Amino acid sequence: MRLSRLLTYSTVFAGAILICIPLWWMVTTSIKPSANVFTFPPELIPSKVRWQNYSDIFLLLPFVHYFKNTMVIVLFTLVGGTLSSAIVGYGFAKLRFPGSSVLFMVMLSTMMIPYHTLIIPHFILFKNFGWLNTYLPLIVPAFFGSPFYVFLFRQFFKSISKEYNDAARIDGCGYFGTFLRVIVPMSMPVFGVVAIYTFNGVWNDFLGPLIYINSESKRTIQLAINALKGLHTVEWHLLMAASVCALIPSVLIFFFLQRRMIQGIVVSGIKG
Amino acid sequence: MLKMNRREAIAGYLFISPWIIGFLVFVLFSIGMAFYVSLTKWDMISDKVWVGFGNYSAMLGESLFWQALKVTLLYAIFSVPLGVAVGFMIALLLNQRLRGLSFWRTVYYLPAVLSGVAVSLMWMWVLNPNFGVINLMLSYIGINGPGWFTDPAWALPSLVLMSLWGAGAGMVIYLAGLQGIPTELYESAQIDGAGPLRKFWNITVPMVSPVLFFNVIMGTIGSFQTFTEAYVVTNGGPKNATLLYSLYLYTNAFKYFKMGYASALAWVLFLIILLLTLLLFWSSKKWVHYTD
Repeated sequence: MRLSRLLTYSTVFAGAILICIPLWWMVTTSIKPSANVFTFPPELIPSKVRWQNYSDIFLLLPFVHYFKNTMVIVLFTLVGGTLSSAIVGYGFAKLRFPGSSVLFMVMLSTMMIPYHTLIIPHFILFKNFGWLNTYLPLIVPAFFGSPFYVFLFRQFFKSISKEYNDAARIDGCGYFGTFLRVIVPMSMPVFGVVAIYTFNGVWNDFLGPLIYINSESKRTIQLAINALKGLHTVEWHLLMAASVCALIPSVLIFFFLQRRMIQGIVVSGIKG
Repeated sequence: MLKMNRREAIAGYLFISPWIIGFLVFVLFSIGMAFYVSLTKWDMISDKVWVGFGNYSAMLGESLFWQALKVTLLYAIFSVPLGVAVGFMIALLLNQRLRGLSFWRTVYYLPAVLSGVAVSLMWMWVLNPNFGVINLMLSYIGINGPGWFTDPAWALPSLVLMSLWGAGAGMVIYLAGLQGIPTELYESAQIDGAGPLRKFWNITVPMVSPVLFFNVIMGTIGSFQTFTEAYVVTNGGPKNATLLYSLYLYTNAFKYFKMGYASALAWVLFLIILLLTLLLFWSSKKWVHYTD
């Protein structure tokens, strides 16, 4: 018994080390002076630390500007995507109408359509709208709800007792009033989960901006780091510092809100 | 009463109307348009030229198409089952009473929230043949590490390795599945004299098989959409060893502006995913166990 405990702990520990090695390598490289990046054998622990790498990348590229660009997309997508998915999810969860279960199945099955099948028609569509090199192609589709988030909302709303709806209806709330004043305030956990996922998705999206944005001043963070890679191919200390900066928001959100994130997946009961 | 229901039905349609509109425009109409464009030759500047199924037959004679298909299938065949297996093992490991459990779960889940160009760059540097940390560590145990992304034979395995780093993503769902197994099942198996291995294969695996199935489906679709890694790290090379289907499609559409040919690729991708999904659903009858 003791031996199996020991085995478990050492496996867990070894796995954790394996996961941390790439992160360790990225972070330590990001603070090495350029002369210490290409040494042989490589330095596992930096012998010299140079924090200026971080200020250097802010001088090389207007990262704050790119951060703002990305946040514009994030904010609009966050508001539009969360609200519309919630509204649709409520319709599927609590309102009875002919064909609702068929439509719901249709919606779920669209999750299996590969994104790459649709990028060309979307590109043609948005080009005809005159939306190329704007953020609209990256924002507007979110306002029509996204199947996975609709699914999460629906699962959550279904668990809310019908009595709340009835009580609100008796008090004279319309369907939308009930949704807005009764259901939304008690559904903050699932809103939180969807918001976190949306943030991570938009923040890390590369293909979307790559297709639609072509002017330098409109670049998002992901495009900016990719451009940095093209310009400073071998300056790995700078590339790693920029990478760390790009990952910090996701890491912070994860550490502060992980319980909520993880609960959200479990509560919504994705069991196949 | 009837009137009430009717009002509710109207409200229902209004509530789901954003999705309906989005579905009609961004899915149904778009797929149709992709099909129409796939029957033409078009660079988005001059007029479309009708070629019928010419793009499809051209595809079959194009060696790069077969290369892209081969690379993507190999990537899926290795990354999906390995990813599910590793994720499931992590969940089994962290479903026990351990000290610092929430700390371990945080560490194992962390890679799942990290993605994008930064992670691709990180792996490029981690797997650098001469100055990367992996080959450094391999040298400690006397192994001369491979060239990873620079070696045609190792480039695709390197992408698989990268994807396995995030295998902890499935852990949360597996844990929920594991915790949903009634303990009575294990107790009665205990009485019947079943050992730990038997309990695992005859109770644990069947009980979580719907969750495993869900992850296999989503993982397969996801593997066909892997793009950033291949674009940033290798751009399909060396010698097209990492020319993933999505990258091949992107290049044809947005580098060469062969919109007709790329749309045909998009449609074939759609059909492949459909076929694979149906195949997986069909196979699931044999191995997925539903309690209700």
